Amino acid sequence: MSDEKISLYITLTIGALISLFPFYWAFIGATNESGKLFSKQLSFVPGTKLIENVTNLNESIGIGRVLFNSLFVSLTYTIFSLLICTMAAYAFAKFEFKGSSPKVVLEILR
Amino acid sequence: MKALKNTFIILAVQVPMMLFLALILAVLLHSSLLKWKAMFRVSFFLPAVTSLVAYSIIFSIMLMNDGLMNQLLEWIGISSIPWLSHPFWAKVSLILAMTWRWVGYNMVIYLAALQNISEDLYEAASIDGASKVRQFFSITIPQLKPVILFTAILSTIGTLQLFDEPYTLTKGGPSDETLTIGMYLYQTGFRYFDFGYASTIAYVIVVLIAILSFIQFKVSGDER
Repeated sequence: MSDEKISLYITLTIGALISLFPFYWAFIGATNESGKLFSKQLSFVPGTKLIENVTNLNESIGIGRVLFNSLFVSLTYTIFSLLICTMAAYAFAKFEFKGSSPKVVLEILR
Repeated sequence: MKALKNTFIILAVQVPMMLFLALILAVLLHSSLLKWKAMFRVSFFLPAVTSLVAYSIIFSIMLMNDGLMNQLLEWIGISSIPWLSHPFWAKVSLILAMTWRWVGYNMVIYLAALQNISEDLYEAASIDGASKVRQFFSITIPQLKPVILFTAILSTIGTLQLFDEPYTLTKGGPSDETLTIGMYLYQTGFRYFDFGYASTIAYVIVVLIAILSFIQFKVSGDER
């Protein structure tokens, strides 16, 4: 029982590390100079250029505006799709009409 | 047509591999022995919230010729691999990247379905002396069949529409070796401005998706 538990934890930890590593690595990239990312001497510790990089980013694209656009689109999309999809799903579930039970819809909803 | 061939190679390798991996991960994460379930789930699902282009760029930097992966490989003692410039390895890196991105997503779907399987079945099976592996193949997979079908169809559709990853990672790759149908459509439509042909390709993709979905319904043994 204990062996099983240990191997379970080891497998999952390795998997989680693989999943998370690119995020950590992107963070390392964000805190280092851009040139260093492409050079041979990579380090796995965070650098000190985070603030500088964020300032550069803000100057080049205006991070506030961009974030607002994304937020606006995603919020509107979520609200409208929730509204329309719940109504459509209700209609499909509650009423019988021609084509209300095509095989595919049923099959996917199953 | 090379694009078609590439897409089907990627489809045939990536979708079954990814779904199986996701299923195993879901079963492991569902195990009652495990603590910190939420933490593991979040770390496996996190790739699915990244944007397609962003993760492709991260992978393209990691897989560069003197990028991170090759440095790690050299450090272990294996000679470096031309990840993005060799016909075979370009496909492998594409598949790796896609698997990294989508395993968590499918895993969450499986996890939700696993919670609906009655505990009684496993109890009865273990009283009858069935091993964990046997239980996995005789209870979990049959019980999850509709969900597996659902994810298989979704992944098939996703793979046939594959565009962002090859576009950012390899630009169609060494001599069109990672050109997918989606990329081919984009090239004819927006680089050679042959919109008629591009629309035809789009319809071919639709028909292919319909045929493949239909085959999957049939193969999975549709009783209704």
